[in-house]
Amino acid sequence: MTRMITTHEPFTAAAGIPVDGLPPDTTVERMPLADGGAFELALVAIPATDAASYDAVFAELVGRGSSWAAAATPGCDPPLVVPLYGTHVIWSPHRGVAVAPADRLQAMRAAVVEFVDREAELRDIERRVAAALERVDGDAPLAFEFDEPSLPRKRELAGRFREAISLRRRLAILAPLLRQPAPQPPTLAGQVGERLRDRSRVGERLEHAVEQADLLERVYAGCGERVAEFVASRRHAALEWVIILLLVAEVVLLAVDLLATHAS
Amino acid sequence: MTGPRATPRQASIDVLRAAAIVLMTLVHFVENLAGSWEVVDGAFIGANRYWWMPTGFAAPLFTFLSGVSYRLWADAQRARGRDEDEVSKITARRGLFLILFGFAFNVLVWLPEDVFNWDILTLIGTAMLALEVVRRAPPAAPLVACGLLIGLAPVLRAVADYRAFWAAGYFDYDFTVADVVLGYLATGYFPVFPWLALPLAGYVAAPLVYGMDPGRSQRMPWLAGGLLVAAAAAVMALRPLVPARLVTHEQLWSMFPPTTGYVLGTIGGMILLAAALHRTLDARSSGSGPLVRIAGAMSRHSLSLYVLHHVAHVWPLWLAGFVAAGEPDALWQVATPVPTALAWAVAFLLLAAWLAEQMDRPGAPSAESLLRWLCEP
Repeated sequence: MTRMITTHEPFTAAAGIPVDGLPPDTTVERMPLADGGAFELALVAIPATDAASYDAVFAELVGRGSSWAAAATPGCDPPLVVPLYGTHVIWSPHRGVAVAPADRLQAMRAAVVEFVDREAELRDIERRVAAALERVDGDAPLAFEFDEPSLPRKRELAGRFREAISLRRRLAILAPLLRQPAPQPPTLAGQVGERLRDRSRVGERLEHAVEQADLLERVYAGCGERVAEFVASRRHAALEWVIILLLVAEVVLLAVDLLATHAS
Repeated sequence: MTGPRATPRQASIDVLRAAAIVLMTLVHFVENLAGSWEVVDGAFIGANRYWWMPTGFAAPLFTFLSGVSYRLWADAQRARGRDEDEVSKITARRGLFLILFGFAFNVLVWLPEDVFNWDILTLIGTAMLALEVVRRAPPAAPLVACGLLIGLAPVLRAVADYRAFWAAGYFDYDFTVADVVLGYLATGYFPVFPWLALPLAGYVAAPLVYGMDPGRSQRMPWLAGGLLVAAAAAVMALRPLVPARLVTHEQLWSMFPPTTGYVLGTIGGMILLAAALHRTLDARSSGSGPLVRIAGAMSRHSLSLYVLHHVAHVWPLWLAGFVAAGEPDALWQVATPVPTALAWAVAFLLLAAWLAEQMDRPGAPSAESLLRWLCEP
């Protein structure tokens, strides 16, 4: 059973998805992604054909699938094409195509769905980490020293700390899923998933994301400590000031009393 | 998000300070030249009429606005990244300048025997020094200080025997350390207790009224002002419960001595007034109208106008008294009828408006340019 990172709706029949260029019997499904977007998966069965024309038909279907997948993100990198034991998986962040004999399509579908789910989760985390890293330079000084003018930023920093922890939590859940070994004995689905992970470098990306999230966590945990220290010392200082002011008031009262006794 | 943002110049503060100058001129010209205290059915306008009461807002306005302006200035310096020590030096120099200027003013205008009458300039100078301390203290410190200043003032007046220092409505002290210190603390015209509470209140109220923080509550100034006015009313209503030995005067609302109701009421009233003007004037005015322009010039030169309005009516009074009767104060409060004094006040205000604009020109001499030359690096 594939374990999903996010709660997905069941695949929906893709009535409105354009399938230009793909064979008419192609099954296309839509899958919601962690970042709020959607992934469209086309399952293309290789028609029964004679051995002489098989390669040509197969190449034609892969070419069409590549064009269809690339059409979702014009101007971006070309889709990844992973050939494996007479099947092909074509993948781009928003569209994928599995080209295989009909009896293998369901196994491939499961492998692609699992990969897409985890890769999308990683991509969403990477995007959020990158956005958070842009703010780190401005916030880092507050991990060293917090002062009165920075006090209005307390909530904002607390929010960023929560976000850093949330990213760290998501990475902690994602990491074992991405690093789990392929099933033994090897299966087509397992190998497809492994190839896709290798080709899309999710391992390295995961390590970088973990390092960056660690940095965020360290900075905002430091901010939290400085804020807590500042608030506590401020409370103590306020109390000390009240005591000082009361002492001053007492001295003034005493002085006025003494002076009044000796006034003309 | 960045640090605290600098607040732009607020036309409403200029208008309030100009209003204080107008009230101050009216009250000083009419009361010093014509008198009118305790006159039954006297002139239509004057201290004998209850509608003269708003003139009692002049000194509170000046002192309250000194705290407001200081807070906005200090926040702006911080937002510009100015060194804290430099801000402290400027503040301390300004405070000392105002105190010395106040003594010089007392000698030159009120004659040397009144050098320690503790006028408003020495109070604002003291307030500058106090605000420099408060600026570095936690926000609770000025609030507690205000409470102590207001709450202890009647006690100090009773302990110091306030009435013994006042004769015929004037602060009358001997040149002794005890009298001078008591005058500074509790019995003078503007003693630290409770008058220092007004600049501190202005300092505390400034971010509530003029703050640039989008998260601040718009209702806070109304709530604070309303509560203070209600507290003033409550204090006045509870007057019969005050122990007799703490009662140093009969009036519930008076400036000399500043009753607790008066201090709370003026602070509350000024917060409400500032909030209302900020909401109407600052939100809608571009600051380019002729009245706002003149108010701005008068506000920027309020120290000069404070000195000039005294010089304009007190020096002629001393001179005429000396010539007519051999005593400088022979014509004090009997020099002119009230309408004439009022006319002189209006004439001075017209002159003051023109003078303020002249002093706005670069290089024009004024008390403010002297202050800046001496106090700012």
